[in-house]
Amino acid sequence: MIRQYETMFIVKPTLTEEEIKGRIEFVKETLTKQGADIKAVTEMGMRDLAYDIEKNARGYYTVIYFTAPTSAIKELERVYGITEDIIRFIVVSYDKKVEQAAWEVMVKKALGQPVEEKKLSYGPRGGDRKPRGDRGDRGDRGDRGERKPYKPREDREPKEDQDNSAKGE
Amino acid sequence: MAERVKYIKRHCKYTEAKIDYIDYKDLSLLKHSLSERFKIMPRRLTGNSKEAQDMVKIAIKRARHMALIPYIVDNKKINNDFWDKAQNK
Repeated sequence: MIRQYETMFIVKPTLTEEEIKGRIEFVKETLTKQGADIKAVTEMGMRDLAYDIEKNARGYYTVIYFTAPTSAIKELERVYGITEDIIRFIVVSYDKKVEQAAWEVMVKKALGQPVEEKKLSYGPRGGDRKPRGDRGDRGDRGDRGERKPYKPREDREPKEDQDNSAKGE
Repeated sequence: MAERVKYIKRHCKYTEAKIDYIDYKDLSLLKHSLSERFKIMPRRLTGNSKEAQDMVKIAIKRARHMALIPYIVDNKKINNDFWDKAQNK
């Protein structure tokens, strides 16, 4: 049964560029030998690892998208296991319909075709609201004129000693 | 009378952005569900929908396996600019 897969592996950083290319070709060959159809290859390049793997702080990441019969995966994982220059690998199968659609999009992206990028929005809630535009300054409101002279209120008794309230009961 | 706890209504950011699959390579999507120390944040704090949380859980575990994000943060060498570095690549 043919399924859609994705595999990512990390090659040791100590190798020369040609050797790294050789390892990638080697993986591709093993795939094609097993009847896999390689759709796209993305080289993420040399990256810092989040933690050391076999005392390596960096690694060369490669992603391969392919379709293959299920039997090919076992052989691929066996080859990964016995290749010392590959320090980490993962094989992901895309089975559900949603996943398969996502796989197609990822292949498109890997081939350099334009893909609609979806990102999380971190704005305030109701972020769909249109910007309100620049409404400009309010302008000068003119002079406020003279203040009215102080006049004690008639409906209240005149103030007694100040700070009475602060002392409490 | 029991005291009432005030709940803030939260929204699933993944649903709002209409993301139907969370890829483990896309670290910008995973960042939202990770704590400062790279733990998976619970749904009650992020507001993720159940579907999104299930996907993000798997994606984070895959990313950890491939050393894209750390399992634990070492107290002795804290990498403060991890996300800045990750965005450049």
